[in-house]
Amino acid sequence: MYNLIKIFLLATFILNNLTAETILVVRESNPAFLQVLQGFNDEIGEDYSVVDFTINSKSTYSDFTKKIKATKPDLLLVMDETAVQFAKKLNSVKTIAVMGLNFQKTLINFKNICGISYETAPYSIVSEFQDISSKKVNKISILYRKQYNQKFIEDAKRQLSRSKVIVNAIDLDSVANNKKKLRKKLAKILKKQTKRSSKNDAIVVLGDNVLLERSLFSKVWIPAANKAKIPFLSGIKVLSSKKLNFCAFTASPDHIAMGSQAAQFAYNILEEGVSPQEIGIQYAAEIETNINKKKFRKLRIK
Amino acid sequence: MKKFHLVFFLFCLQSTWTKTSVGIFLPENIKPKKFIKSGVKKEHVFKGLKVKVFSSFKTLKLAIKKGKNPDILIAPSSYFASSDSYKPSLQFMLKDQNVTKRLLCSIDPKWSLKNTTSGVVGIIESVGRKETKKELAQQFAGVKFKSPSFSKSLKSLISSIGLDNTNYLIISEKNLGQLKEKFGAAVTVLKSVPNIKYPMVGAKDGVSQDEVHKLLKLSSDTLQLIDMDKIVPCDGECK
Repeated sequence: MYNLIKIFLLATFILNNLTAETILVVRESNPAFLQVLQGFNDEIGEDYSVVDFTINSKSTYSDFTKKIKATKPDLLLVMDETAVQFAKKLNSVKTIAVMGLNFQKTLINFKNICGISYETAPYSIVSEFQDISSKKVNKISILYRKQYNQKFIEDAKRQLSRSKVIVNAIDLDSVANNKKKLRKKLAKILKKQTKRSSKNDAIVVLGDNVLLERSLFSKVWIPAANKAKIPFLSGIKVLSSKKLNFCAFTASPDHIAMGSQAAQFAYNILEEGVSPQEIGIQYAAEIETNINKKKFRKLRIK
Repeated sequence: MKKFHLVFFLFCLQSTWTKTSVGIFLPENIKPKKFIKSGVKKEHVFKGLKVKVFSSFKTLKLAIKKGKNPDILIAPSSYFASSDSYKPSLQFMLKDQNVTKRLLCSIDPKWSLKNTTSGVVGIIESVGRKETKKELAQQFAGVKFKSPSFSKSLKSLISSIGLDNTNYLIISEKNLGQLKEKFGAAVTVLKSVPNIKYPMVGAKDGVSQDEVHKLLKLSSDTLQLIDMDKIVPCDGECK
């Protein structure tokens, strides 16, 4: 009788493991991606079978589909651009996308893919900055390109309006293709927006490759931040580094917490039957903050 | 001199071995670091005991898995409903059971009580997804949501609604002030239910009840820190 119970328990265990839903993680070998995976695995525990598939710059779509055929995943967790592109091309397996840029725009038509934006929401940047400093923020200015960041700015305006923060979003799309004009306009706007008369309490800097292009950054952004009486805030950690001495404060996604947030999506999809489309693209809920003490002292922020 | 050191070392080692360990896991009531500073270090009942405050359910689960779980555990009552490791014997109580309430809130008029089935509700994960979901269904019976979203702390819970990752929040009444600090008049309390489940104290098999009952002498300051008024024995009748 005792042996029969043992066999029954063993069979149940084996059956459970055989029928456990599979999540295929597709990522490049990178410490940040590993942290996301760690947060994901910590949350998922033994509830699902997680298969880690590492790709590199030489990996092809065919390598990806071979792995799909071999593992038959119920869900995909893809990290970074290459893996996201593979998932978009496949578009038949429910997918969670993380660690990529501008998902609000690039994943809008993909009903099978939900994700977490790698850009920190201005709401989080402002909110964390207010929590950490004594500075009250009532108005901010954001320079952006409408074509690239329209949804992001709409979200920022809606989210910050609830905390009574006015977002003055300035679109630079019209001059974005002309470097000379862009430089001139950018310098003029920054000069105006960092004056006390603008009533801005901060400038929020977005991670836009065109607006933060190398020469623009060193010749326009850095001098503007040095002259400004108000802080520059961003979601890009390196911008508050001692070396750059540009932003006074940055708030970037916590990678482990991002993995845990992605695991929540996995439970919602596999356990609650929620579709990726219903989840949509969300913002990172847990943030890692960095203070540039030099700027804090200069701007007398406590 | 060396012999003295060795004897002293062995003495310390032995006293560490024989110390009863107490674990505290109250995610909705306390902030671990603050509680260690103002609760654990000042509470005379804890003197001579090895006290550990768990910051998440995951760390508690991990300690149990490794067999490093404390002899006595203070945790939400829902934890003991599904625990094989601990048997509850003391219960925290409030004089007026209507004092502590749990609130269902939103910060957008679009998310009213009529729309809950299409909205995501944010809640602090206290004792694992399944138990928290069960507790949610019991406390807010009749209110159905599209899906739950679990946060590890009050801060990330409030962030999640600010970012529209969730549409509703469930918070303790004492935390309403923090929500209003962020969103002011936009906060609407849609439903409020009395929190009928209070924390309990449980012990592992083999731990003397005398040791557990020492916690009956917890000071009113410590009780206040965990939002409770008194602690009473409840052997066999804990609920």
